Amino acid sequence: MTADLIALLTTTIALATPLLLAALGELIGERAGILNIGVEGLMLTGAFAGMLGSYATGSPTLGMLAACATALLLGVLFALWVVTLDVDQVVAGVAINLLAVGTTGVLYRAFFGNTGSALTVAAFAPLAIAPGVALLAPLRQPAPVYAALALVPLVWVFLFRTRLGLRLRAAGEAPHAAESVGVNVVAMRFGAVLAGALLAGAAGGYLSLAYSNTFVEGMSAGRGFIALAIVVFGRWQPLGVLAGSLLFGAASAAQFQLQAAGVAVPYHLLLMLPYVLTLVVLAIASRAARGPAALAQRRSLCATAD
Amino acid sequence: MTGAARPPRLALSGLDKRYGARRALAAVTLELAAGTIHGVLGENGAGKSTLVRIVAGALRPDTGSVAIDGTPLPLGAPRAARAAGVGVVFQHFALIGALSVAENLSLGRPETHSTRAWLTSPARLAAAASSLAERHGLAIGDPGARVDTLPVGTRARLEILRALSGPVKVLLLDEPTAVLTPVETAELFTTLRGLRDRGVLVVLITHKLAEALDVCDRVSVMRGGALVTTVATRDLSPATLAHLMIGDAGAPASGALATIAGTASAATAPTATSTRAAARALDAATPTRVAALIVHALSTPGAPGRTALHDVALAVEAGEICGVAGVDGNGQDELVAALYGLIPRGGVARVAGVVVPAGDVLAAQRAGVALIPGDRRREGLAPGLSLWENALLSRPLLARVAPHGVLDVGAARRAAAEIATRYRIVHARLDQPIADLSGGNQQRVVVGRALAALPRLLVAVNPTRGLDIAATAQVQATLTGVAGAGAAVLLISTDLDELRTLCARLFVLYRGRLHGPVAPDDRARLAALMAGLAA
Repeated sequence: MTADLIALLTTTIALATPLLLAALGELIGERAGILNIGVEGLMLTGAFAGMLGSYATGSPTLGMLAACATALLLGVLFALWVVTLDVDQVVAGVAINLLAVGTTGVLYRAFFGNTGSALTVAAFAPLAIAPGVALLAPLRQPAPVYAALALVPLVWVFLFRTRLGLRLRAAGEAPHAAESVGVNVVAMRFGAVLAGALLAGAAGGYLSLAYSNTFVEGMSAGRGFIALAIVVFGRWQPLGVLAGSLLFGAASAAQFQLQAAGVAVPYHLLLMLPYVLTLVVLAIASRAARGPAALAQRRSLCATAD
Repeated sequence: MTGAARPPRLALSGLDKRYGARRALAAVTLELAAGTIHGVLGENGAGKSTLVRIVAGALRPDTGSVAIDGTPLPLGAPRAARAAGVGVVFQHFALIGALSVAENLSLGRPETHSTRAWLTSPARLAAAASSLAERHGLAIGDPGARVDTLPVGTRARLEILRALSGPVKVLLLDEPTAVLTPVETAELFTTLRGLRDRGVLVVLITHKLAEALDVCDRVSVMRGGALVTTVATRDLSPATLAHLMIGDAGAPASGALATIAGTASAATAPTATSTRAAARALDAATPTRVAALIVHALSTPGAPGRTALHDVALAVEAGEICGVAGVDGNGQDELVAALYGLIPRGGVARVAGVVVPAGDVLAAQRAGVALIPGDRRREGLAPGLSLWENALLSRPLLARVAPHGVLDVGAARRAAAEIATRYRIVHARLDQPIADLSGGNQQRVVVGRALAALPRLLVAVNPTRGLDIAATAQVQATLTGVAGAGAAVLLISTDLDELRTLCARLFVLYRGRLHGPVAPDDRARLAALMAGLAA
């Protein structure tokens, strides 16, 4: 029983981390008023680029850098669309997702053929914390897990205890008002999108370089969309996002545990668990949730004075 | 002294701005000296707000230039304008509701070396906010409070304080007193005089003549986007100034009164004669001295940001304009929402003898209640929709032009055009977005729509707030006309002069309780009731 719980906790943390990274990134973007539903595509791109980087260099760290850099490039494209050109954010996000699915699929087959055999690369190893103690197994996680956890207070301090964070939030609440008092809304939003893309890329890199050591087509598997839901569930707060990530991580972990325990339920139903949870939680949480006032609004179409 | 050679503090030259066919600004050239208070007067749509937005950098003119102390300002660049020393208090406050008082003030503060610290904290922001407020003698209350929870007077002070947070050379205020009480206005003027004495150029956009004459050294009058004249106020009488503002060619206020009075009673009465006939017909249908509205034991639940109403009793007779006075936030919004079915309530409300069920807008409309909401931009209009769509955005009106749920666009446009003509809505096309219209014309749409439904009871909330002389006269005449035609009018206003002019009886709302009636000329009792000093 204890062993089951320890395993559950270990898997929960492992599965919560990519959600946490992606959701923190999305949180920064949304606080600036940009809804990036392309986070799924950014994650997938990060996973692919991370694998490729590790494959080419043999270093998971360099692979992770490749994951972040590639997602950042895609983030620049998204920011050019939605911030500079003021394109509809949902349309641009869908475009990013489609682009990511297509490109990673084509490139993967181009590089590694259509063999179907698993390709493995060098990945992050779990840290050897208290190796002999079975109870502390959940702490033995790869380094990116700790980096992700450390980001929670850092993002909070950035958003709520720095002048830059204040300006970023102002850009997300009332861009015209912010502009009129000298906030560079375009710069704030551009930066926020890039930060979000970077973290989504890291989430993807985690999938192919820490959670596993390989890339599978479509391996983000809807986690980007769950991250979007987590931001709402977490009421646009870093701590809330952490709680949401752990909840969804636990749901996914429980699903594996139940499968492994041979529960007499078709495994398809178990696989649905995190996604059903998304629906339920969103239905409940979104009732009271109030996001940034200018979220997903195009600047040119915001109500103006006079 | 190099006074003769010194360039003017603010120089505007040849500013031109068009919105489609409408010329919002026509070759405006103006030079203003430092250390003065300069008034810019004009009716709604005269181009005052456009001028402010151009100087603030929020709007780019088609042609022309702006210079401060002889240095040209890059146009359409709010940050550059701020850096050059332009502070602005916008008509519709540019505060961010979800942020705290201190956070809003911090946003307006340009970063100096001492404040460039990356990290900040609520305590630090609050201290900075309090010291700024103290320096200018403006009370802001709790610096940690969220701005959207504050009363409008505090928000106005906050807005002014924020404009003053930088090294301000030119302070522009666009209708700052529209939402202030007389005491708050007097305090503001003291602040403005202090700034003038420190060498700031204060530009006050207003349409209140008394204010302009009281506080301004000189005034410029705008009409139809053009600058008509600039004169020193000591040479001016209110009458002369009013004459300059309205002009000879435009319809004067008295004309507006004559044309508009009584038009509201009938939907198809283009001439004065048929209007009177319709009014008589309505008179016959509703004998005088009948209570059109009877409210008994009306109460509403309290909630965060809401004032609970307690045991409100009120009767308004057909043909009467009954006034409700009170300081904002004493239950006005709740009374209106309860009568119009927007929020749940207890108690009984009858309109023309019919019991109106609580919390049912459609039933209220069917009983003959129409509403002119207090915040036309938020509650009255859909800014993204066109003029004609907005003019018909009321269930009874839509039923007429969409008989089987399908909109008869031809009929709808004709109905909207009729409202536009009747209420003299200045517009280019029926298809133009309502947001492009000036405030006065937007209000004409709201009023026209409410009256097109031929209400038995018209509830009007601050119907002339922010309107110019002509539009105010028109709206007030319309209210009189509606009452004259036999409807009951419940006028809820924070403008005591307006209430005294229009109403025979006044009630006062104080902390959710209705007191009165009071005779409109009993100033002492009114003041006591509004301040909560008498029961």
